[in-house]
Amino acid sequence: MTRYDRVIPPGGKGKIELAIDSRGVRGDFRKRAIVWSNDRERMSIALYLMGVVRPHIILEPGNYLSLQGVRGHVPPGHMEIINNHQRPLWIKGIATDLPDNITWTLKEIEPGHKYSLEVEDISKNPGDYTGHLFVRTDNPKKSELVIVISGQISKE
Amino acid sequence: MFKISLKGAVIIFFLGLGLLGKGQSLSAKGEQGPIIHIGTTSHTFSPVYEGEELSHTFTVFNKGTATLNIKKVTHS
Repeated sequence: MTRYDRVIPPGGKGKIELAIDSRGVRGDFRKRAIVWSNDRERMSIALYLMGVVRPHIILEPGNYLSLQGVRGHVPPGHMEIINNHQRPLWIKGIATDLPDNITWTLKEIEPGHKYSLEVEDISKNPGDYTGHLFVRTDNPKKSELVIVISGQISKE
Repeated sequence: MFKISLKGAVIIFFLGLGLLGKGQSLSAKGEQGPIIHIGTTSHTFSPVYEGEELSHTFTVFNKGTATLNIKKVTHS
């Protein structure tokens, strides 16, 4: 979002307000805006906004798990859920849209701060699937984590 | 009677052109328009958590003698 004074009298001053929605930003960022004016010597001036956006919760190694192998012998997938706040984080529940394909186990490593999530394939038939695990948390700013699960299960 | 040679006329002509040019140049410098000035053109925010809105206001000065128009602000 950008707001600015369009007309500034001689000797006067005005404002240019630049805003960034950090929802889609992760880590270091550098945003540039160009101001175009009727000053013939400096018709355009670049403005820069920089900073760091921290996630509330970190999923390691990422928000994607792949399960591959022979049916009945598929190695489980592992993930860590790390709280990035001082205040403890509690997992309120986990749901999936792949009830026939996966099951999960959640363990506390550091209560309120680090959890281990193990996902196992329970498919009765070989085949490919893609779905999600929905992890509900008590953090109002990040009340749900969505983990993408993909499976490639072979017969032999 | 005052007589002037062809050579002299040519010299006077080019001298005149030179003075005219100088005069135009001085005139152009005298016509001052708007002058945009932004003291600080960058800002670094303190670290924030995702989802927080970040905003910063830059102050723009017009140090010229004519109205400064901000035509647009684009993002890249």
